[in-house]
Amino acid sequence: MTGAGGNLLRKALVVLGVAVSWAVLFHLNAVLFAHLEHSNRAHWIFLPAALRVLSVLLFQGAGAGGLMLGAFFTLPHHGLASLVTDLLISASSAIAPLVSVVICRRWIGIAADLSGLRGLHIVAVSVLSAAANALGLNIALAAAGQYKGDVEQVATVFVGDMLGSAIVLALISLALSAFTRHAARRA
Amino acid sequence: MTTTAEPTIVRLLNLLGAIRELSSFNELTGDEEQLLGELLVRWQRGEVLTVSDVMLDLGDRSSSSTVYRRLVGLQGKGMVAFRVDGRDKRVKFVEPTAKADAYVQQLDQGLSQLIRDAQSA
Repeated sequence: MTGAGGNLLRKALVVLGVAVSWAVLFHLNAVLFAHLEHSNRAHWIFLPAALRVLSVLLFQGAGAGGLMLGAFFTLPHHGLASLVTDLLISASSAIAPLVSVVICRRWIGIAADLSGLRGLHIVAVSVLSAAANALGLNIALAAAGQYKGDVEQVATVFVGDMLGSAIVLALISLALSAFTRHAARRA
Repeated sequence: MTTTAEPTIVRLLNLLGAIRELSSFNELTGDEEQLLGELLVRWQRGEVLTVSDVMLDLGDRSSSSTVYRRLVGLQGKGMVAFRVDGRDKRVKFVEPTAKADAYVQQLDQGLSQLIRDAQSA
């Protein structure tokens, strides 16, 4: 399928794929790190945070859309009354990495096709995204009248996103190194 | 990397390359660095090396299988590439990659800086 229709279908598939990946990582995080939960919105280790940066770097706007959808469906909903809050929180989850990538593109000079991208650049984007998400989430809660002055929650979200991203990126990096060595031996 | 390939594929490959850098397993071991150094000297002299040449002549007093493992390690880390001989497919040439050239440039810059610092001291 070509043209506008094909493009739309591809973007829809990206949105769905990112949303499903988010849900999988979210539930895996809940299983592995349930004891590290500060609140139902803040975890000391949050694996899905890595997906924020990777989705936006790879799929740009469609990736952000998938993040928003995934975040929305994994939030604990309390009926229509919490719909606005849930939408705000989901949006902040997508906006944080978008803003981080845009800032880093201008600050570090990351190309649109990611040519010249270094490992340290990904670390910089992840740190910025974690900070933006920590602030954005609590601003969203404040806007919905649900921020209870829990400063520790802000720190938890920041640390959780950083550690979650570090774990996932380390695992992907190790897997890639192992795969490359294995492929080189077979060559 | 910029090609006529699908943009998402290009971004994916560049992203994976950057993520791979994060692992310390991509750093050269001491033995790999030594072997790379010997290869660089030989290439600098214009020598054309095969895998067999490297296994037999280089790598200090290590066994040929050990040298081969280090060579494969260098290939896995993107420092050398193997090219099959068009006439005899049993023969594989060992050639430097762009990454090896960048490594040489880094060493050169580092040495130049050291010399400048020493002269100004």
